[in-house]
Amino acid sequence: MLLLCFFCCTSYGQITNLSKLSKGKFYSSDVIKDEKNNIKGYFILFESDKVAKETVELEYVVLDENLTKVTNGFMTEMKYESWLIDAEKITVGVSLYKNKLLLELADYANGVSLFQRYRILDVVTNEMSKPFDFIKGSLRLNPVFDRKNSNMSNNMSENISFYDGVGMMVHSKTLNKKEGRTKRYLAHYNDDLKEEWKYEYSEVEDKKKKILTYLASDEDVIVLFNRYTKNNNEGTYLPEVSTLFLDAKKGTLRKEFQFPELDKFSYRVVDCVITNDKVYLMGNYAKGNKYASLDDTENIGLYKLVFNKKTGELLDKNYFKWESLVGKLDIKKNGYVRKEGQLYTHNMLLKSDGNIIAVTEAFINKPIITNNMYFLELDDKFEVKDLFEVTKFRNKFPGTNAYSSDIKNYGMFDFIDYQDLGDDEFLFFLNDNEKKSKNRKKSTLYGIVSYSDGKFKRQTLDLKTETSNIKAYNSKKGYLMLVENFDEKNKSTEFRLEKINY
Amino acid sequence: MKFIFTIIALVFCGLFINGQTNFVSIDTTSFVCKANLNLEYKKKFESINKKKSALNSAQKNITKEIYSEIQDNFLDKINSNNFICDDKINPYLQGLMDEVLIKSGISPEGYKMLLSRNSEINAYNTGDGTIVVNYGLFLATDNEDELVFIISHEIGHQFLNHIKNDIETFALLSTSEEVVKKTKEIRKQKYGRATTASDLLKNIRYQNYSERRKKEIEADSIGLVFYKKTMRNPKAAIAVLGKLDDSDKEKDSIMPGDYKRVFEKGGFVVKQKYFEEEESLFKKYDKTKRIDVDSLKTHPDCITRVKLLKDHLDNKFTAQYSSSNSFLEIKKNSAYQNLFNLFTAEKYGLSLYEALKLYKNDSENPILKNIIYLNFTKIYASRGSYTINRYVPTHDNLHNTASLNRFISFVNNIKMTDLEIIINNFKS
Repeated sequence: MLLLCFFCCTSYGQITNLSKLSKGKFYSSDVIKDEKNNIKGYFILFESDKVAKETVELEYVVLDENLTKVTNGFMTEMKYESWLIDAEKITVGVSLYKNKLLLELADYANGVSLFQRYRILDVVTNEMSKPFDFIKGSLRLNPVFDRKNSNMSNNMSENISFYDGVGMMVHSKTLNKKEGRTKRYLAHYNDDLKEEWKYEYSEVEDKKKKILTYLASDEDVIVLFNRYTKNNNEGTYLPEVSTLFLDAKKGTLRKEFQFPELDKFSYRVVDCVITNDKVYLMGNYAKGNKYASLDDTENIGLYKLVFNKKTGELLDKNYFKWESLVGKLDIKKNGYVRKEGQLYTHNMLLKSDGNIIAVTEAFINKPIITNNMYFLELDDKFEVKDLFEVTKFRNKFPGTNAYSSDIKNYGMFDFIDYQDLGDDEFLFFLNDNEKKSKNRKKSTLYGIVSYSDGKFKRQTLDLKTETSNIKAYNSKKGYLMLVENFDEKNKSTEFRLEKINY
Repeated sequence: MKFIFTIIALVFCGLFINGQTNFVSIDTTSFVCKANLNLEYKKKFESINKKKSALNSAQKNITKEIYSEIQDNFLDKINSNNFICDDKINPYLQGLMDEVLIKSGISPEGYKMLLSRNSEINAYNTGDGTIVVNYGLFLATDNEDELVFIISHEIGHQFLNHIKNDIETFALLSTSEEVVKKTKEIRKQKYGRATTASDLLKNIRYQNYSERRKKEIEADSIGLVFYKKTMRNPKAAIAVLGKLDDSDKEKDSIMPGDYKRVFEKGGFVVKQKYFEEEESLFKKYDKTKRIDVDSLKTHPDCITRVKLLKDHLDNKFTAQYSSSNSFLEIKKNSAYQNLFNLFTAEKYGLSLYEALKLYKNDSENPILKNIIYLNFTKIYASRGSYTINRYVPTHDNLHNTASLNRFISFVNNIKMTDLEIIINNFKS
């Protein structure tokens, strides 16, 4: 999202800056982040030429965390064209593992991503791999694309991603009896694109099926979140939720942990942290329902489950109820803060002393209104040690109605991101602006909350100027990127990396 | 702006009295200088633009566009106080240029010498008779002869009309039958248009750059002829090219121990973490793959130029260099003046960095102490207003030295309260 705003704007200045990077047409970009949420660089994609029917030459540019150009290169890719629709652009999603960037390329047409395929950029040699995909059980290097409308499924890769500490993983979810694809599985591939192991988890004949979502991993264990669905209707969830612990070296299941009292509660995982010997699962729980989905209006509080990393055995469990904040905050049992709405939990960050920092934002879902933020420090017994209120601009989106998960997905909350500075120090960024405002006076406030020496501190950046418009974005550790667009025509946009004072 | 200069100058002059140091800074922010130059060059450009040429309309359009860009850029420089007007240095430099011109039998009419406050070691000819010498040259040259050779080289460019010819050659090449034909062909192409067009442009640029490299050798050659007429030491030509070759290499650095020695006063302790920066993911930085950079160098490498000059000079060098009192006076003050120039150009980070390199070996120097104080005060304010990156360069693993990156980390990482202590320590 950052780079979308960063490079998409069409002011004169940004064109000037973009032209320094490439002469091509801007397509897409992504931030390169490490496993600790730190920004390590930027990947930008341009179309440099159309070289044949449905074939374009792309130029990619890699910038480091200081916006210094690291490398650029060219690659030929297909872009979908038909009598019905033409793909507008090719998008890129980047993930990092050790010294390699996995690039997911996809054609983008009418708001939909199609024809996913992948490449790997080695940042030691700056060499780009040939494209590859995973279709019908096999990983194809440099596949021949045949994009007839009748053949779309043969050109659309199943999901490939990097798992921390493990490397490249293929997640094959498609079940098709006719094609002999009878099992869902996760498969780990090594640097030579050879399969190391496979974990099969659901068969076509199963009465209920698992939907697995990656939570966290290291060299030893992979932690996955599972929701069961009905066999004949994959959109209907069953009230069964579990966590799976896989051996990261062999791909064998160590343990499947069923979340407790599913008849009474539903769960959402906010964060999962793996330490030397434990796995911490932290999240939000609410009153249960038959779909095991978290109902915003029946929110009860937060939970922390601690597992033995080697066995997946539950070692400890703690629950925190919103109602225990009564006296400190005008809050109801279901987590409704008076005049502000429910609390949505963005992050739960584990400190070295076992305490947890929960980052929450009050919201109303009809119409969508985002309100103040609340930062909680919970001790190792999961009791509130500190509650820090951050008042901010109240954003209202008339005529809207959405669940919290959708509000988050569409970027309508004001919380932007956080930085883990190490030594139990964190920085949190939030918009304090009226969104989409033309009123410059109101559109230049950004909030920074720091957590240092066990204390929360808030500062507001007033970036108002008489001659420009400034936007703030997350940046490399300890810094903020300010993008200043000047009113004066032909004056280049300024990209500044500013150290955060705290 | 004049008022601001007066305040800054007062601070510097104050040091002159207290510190018994013979330095008075030059006014680099003169409004009158800016206004006069603006007027003069606007008139000059108008007159150049009215001149008739034998080019056809397409060629004229191209040259007009290039001239317009060059002229706008130059006027921007004037308006941002890039040029210094000083009662002593400007006539002195003009005198050096006139010396070369008159002794070479060229009329000084139409030639003008300007001094830029830029600390980069460079000089250039704008093609309209103007020769610009960067203040940075005073830092690099050791005697007047070296400076005169550089001026001679730039006169060579002007004498041979290199800029004008360059622009016209480019216009002719761009509108040549061959290029026009190829352009039409490209328009007709269904696919691969951008690549073919880019290749064509690349070829034009290669030819142009190749011509420019030849022109540098020509300017050296004729510049040496002019320079010899001044009867100055020919060895200076060789020496100064060697210095230009080394100009991007940093001669000194600031180590963590230096920070301790300089800053640990008044309760402030330099911690290792102030120099720490998150390790970058990237270790290999590629040169651009768009065009082979080496073939784009407009200047041939200095070693080649030195060799060619030596051939002309037959290796017969005298030992003596000449330097007038004016040169020696300017040279003596150049290190301080450079810090001041950087300061007035709002390059507080670089001004501070260069000042610290001098101060670590001269910690009693009141001028340095004061420029450090002034820069820190500005940096403190910019940290508070989240504009420090406007005045202090960004960490850069490709272009910066380790010492400069260390300095950037230091000024970014120390706490605001630490900055207050440092400012207090350096306050006179």
